[in-house]
Amino acid sequence: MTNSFERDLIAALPALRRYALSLCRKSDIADDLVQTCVERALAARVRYDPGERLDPWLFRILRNAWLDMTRRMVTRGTEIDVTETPEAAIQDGARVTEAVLFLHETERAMAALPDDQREVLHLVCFEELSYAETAEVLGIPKGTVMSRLARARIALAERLGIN
Amino acid sequence: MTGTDIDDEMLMAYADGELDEHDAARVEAVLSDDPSIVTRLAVFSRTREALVSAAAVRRADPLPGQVLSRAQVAIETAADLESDAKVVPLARPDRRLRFLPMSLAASLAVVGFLGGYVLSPYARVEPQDPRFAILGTTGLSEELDRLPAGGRAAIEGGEVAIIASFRDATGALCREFEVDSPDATTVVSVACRSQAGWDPKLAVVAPADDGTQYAPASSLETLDAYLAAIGASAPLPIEEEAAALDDLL
Repeated sequence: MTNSFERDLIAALPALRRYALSLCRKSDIADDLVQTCVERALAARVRYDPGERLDPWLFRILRNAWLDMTRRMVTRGTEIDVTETPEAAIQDGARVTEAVLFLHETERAMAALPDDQREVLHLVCFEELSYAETAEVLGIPKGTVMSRLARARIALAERLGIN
Repeated sequence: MTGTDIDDEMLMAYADGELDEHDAARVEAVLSDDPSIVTRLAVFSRTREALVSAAAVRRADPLPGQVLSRAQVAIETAADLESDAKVVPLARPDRRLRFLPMSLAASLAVVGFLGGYVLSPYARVEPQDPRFAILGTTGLSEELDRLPAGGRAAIEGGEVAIIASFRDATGALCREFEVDSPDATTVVSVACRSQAGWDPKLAVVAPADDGTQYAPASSLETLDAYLAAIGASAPLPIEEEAAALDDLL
């Protein structure tokens, strides 16, 4: 009795995990965050408006789950290790191409950005959310999204030697 | 208009396809006249390309199997709760309907009371009844501190599922939950938080549902009567529930 909400939720899992990884940068925590998001989304599904896109709605839930988790970690005095890099994208040696090398370079450059800038960059450029959707996910004005995104892009261009 | 009239954010919005026709035309008019603006635009269009191609590689990342399987279990659990709610044949306040567990089947026995408040004609069972002891199960109070509504977790000798969170008339956080034991017993409980921890307020034993029994209206009214008696609020939205759980830490 899978309905479209459930199908779309499953379909959104890869994007949720990418977003979770961009927030916490540890794969085991990212997996837990995705699960918390799924559970909360199922519990709150009556409040989902089918007229809006599901992904931004899910991203907002996942982000709130992350904020809850970080608050708890701070309360418990747990340090979050942010040095772990995301696992290598592709293991197949034959496919370690220029694209993958450039991916790693791009991700290193993103990792060096302040959190608030990296987050808008991920949502707009990786997940292709609109500025308005990104503002909704983050609970900030669209103008703030644009100013953070512009600063992030200029910093990224410098790091990647794009100019 | 010249290139200096166009700020970075507008150029970026142009590169990202976020401008309306009018503003896009303004940018294009300047682009053809002012080579310096082409260079500024390139910062945004080329970073976008870099990120979009990086994203394309990341999209090829396999989803770890456990992420999918855990999500599927959560979906099935939610679907069970949902379909159970639909078969309950009674008019009851909307506040709990969609959380209603099927396991509230026939032959309910109320085994715990608040201050001797008699809730139903069912036989009273003293607190030392072993079924009441489930509220002291190792791991249960930790899960009550942690799990959101709809969440499930294994605890000693069974599994706990949180049905809903609400506040009583005094503002204390209360949680309605059920504990499923391997012997097919399900205990539906309400516990409220005090300084000392989770105080059990009510426990209702229901035989595990075998698919043939339906809850009589009167058994559910028992829970409703109790919740009304303590001035229970509507279930907390997930954000409020999460904030309330955070406050426990």
